[in-house]
Amino acid sequence: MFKRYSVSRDRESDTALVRAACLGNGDAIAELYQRHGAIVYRFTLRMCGDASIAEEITQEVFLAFLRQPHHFEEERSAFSTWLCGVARRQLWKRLERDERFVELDDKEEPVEAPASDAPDQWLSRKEAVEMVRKGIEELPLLLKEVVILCELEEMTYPQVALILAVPIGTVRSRLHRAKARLATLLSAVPAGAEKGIRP
Amino acid sequence: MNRPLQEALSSLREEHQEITAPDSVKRGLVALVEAGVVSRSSRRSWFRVAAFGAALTACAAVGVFYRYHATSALPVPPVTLVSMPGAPLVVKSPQERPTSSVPKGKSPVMHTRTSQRAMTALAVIDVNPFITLPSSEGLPAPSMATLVRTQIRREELRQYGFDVSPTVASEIVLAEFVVGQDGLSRSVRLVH
Repeated sequence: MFKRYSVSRDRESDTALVRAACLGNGDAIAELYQRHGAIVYRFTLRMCGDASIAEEITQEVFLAFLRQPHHFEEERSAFSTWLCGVARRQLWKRLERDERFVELDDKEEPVEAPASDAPDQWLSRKEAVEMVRKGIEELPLLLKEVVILCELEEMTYPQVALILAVPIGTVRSRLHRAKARLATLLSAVPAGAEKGIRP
Repeated sequence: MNRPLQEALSSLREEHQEITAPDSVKRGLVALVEAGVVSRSSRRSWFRVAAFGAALTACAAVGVFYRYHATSALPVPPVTLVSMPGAPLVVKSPQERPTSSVPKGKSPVMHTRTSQRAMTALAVIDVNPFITLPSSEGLPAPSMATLVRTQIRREELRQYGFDVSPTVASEIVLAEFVVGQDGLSRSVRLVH
């Protein structure tokens, strides 16, 4: 099953804005940033967890577009997809440079759920959200980027595959593994916990 | 997928979508575009590529012109390279070559047409015999030699041990040097 959500983008008007921006139209670049800047910023922010780095990379991505607009092929992908791909490459370069890159170990087993000392210490829904947020932050980068793009940005599998430059099957398998890890964190939560019901 | 995870992701998604891009970046981008900084650099790079392409095309055109049309019009006939691996040093003028020794087909050194032009050009030029350079005395005989044709002033022959009259010292002559594989000249002749 290909992805459930669709991101509605007016590709034709994006194309017109891209052309105008290339000709030096300030309003056009402002509109493009208004439409697509947030997705780039959110993605980089979630990936690196540092607002200043996310801001810097977002700016670099748009500058890269303005310097070499011919690199964007409108027949191949939507503008936001292309921007995210550039952002990802810039981010990985940055992370590798800063030696914050952690290689994904394919043989690594899913993390164990924290043992609950007392049966009455059930997690509320808010606690579950916090646990998943923390779980996403601690995921290996290759899994984290898939969760951010597929689950938080609601992109389709083909879009994510384009951004990550991997086959769609790889996207699906990575997402499955990431969700399995996150689900393990919540496995100790009883059925009523997500509703905040305490005994 | 398990329901608690789905709900947690849903909540995170709502929170995530509320994050907006910083306005400072937008202001910076707009300022750069309106100032023409980015566009100008882009245009400059395209101009560089176009200029490089034009220069390359011009060089190719000149090369083709000289290769096929201008060879005979050169003030100096093209340099003829003669290699004789494993043979004693014997250099003959084109007129002296026996007919049987003329190789059939394309020359390994020069294009047939160019070679014929050079032969024709040499045929009308008086060629003196080779004179062993005094400076090369004592050098071993080369197993391979190259004929190098160049224009020199007569006074430059002094460095090879020749006596040159001061009255003709500044005269420019066309000379052919036999140069061994060691890079040292062995003999010379003047071409009139």
